[in-house]
Amino acid sequence: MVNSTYHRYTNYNSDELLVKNNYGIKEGINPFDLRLKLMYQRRLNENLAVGVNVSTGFFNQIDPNIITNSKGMKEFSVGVNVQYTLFRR
Amino acid sequence: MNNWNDIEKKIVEDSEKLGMTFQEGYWDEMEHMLDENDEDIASAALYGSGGSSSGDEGLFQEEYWDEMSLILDKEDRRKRRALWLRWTFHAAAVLLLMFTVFNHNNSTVDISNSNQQLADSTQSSKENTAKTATASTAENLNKNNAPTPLNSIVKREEDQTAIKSELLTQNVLRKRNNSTPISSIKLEKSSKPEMSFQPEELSQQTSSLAALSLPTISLNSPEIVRSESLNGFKNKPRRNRMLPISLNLVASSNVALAPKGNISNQSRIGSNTSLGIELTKHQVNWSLSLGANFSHKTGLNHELLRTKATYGTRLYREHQSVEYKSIGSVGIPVGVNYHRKRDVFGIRLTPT
Repeated sequence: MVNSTYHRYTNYNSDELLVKNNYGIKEGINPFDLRLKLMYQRRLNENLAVGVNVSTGFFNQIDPNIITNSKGMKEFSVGVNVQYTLFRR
Repeated sequence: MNNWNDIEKKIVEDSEKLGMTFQEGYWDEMEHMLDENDEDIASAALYGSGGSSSGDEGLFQEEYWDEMSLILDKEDRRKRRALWLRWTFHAAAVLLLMFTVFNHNNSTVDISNSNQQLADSTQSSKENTAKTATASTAENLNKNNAPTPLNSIVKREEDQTAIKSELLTQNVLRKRNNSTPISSIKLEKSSKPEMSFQPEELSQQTSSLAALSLPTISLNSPEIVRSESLNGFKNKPRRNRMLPISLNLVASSNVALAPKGNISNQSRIGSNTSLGIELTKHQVNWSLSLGANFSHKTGLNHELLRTKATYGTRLYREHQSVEYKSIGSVGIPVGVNYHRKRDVFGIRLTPT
């Protein structure tokens, strides 16, 4: 799991140091999740199919021991998908 | 050595000692020598490195250059011939390939056409054929004669009675014995037609067996495949739609509900895009898939807050906040699909 973050440091005098793109910081984020996706596809031709899907996650991806003031984060999304068949054997 | 004059005088004395003074006689002599050698130098530049026209090694040898030009001409012709041969070979290979493809397409008769042919011949011979055909006829025929190739029937279009009878027996056999469907038989144009029976014999056998009042099948019976059903073969593609294994490129773009996080400016929606590949194993109406994908999720609305006290000349309190913008994850989707004509219903379970 890779995170891209904004990283801010402020000291006692409220001087702020903003550091962007600190990749790899994953404290407080649960790295594992199990997602269930239901999908419908319609084949347009032999190789191409388009469809819609609904996806939901089972686990809270926020660690409440580290990020205390959070209600949690679970995956729920709706979208479209495209499938292209590269080859058949 | 107090002034510049003393220095100059000293330099002149030293140069005279070394013989570096300009001596006009020396340079006149040198110029004369160079003039004499001009011709030699020019010939050396033209004919070789010998630099002297008196020796044989620097002379222009016409035979040598004739021989070299002959060799060069020969090489040039050889190169041109090789180039021509190469292009000819390529053209021949392309022609051969085209001919092979064309010949292959011609030699394999599309079964839909043959079915259409059979259906047409069946319709045209409706008046001339007998109205019944027995199943035992088919069994007898099968026992007495070798399996009849279908192409022999196609070739004998003129004998409509034989075609009709054979069609009926084939249909009955297919229904009863659950044998190979007609669509799976591939006909070859080049194969020599062999008639293992004579049409007259068949008609005699049919009439004689019909006279035994054996169970009959009417033309309206559902066991008889109508010509419309035969026409259905034409619409079927030659390739099977369900093939055993396929490799798919899958991309999805989703709109996600952003969670209620702990930052001040929260976004309501996020996105989740993924790209991956799936290997799918097909069954009749079902398929199993296994793959790998990378998904990128935004709209997290969370930050990590930390406060740290630092002691120096005075007490510093350092606040650290890390705002999570996006998460990238790698998943292994495992799924099941149900295929219904062109529609596919699927379910995926993706551990990330």
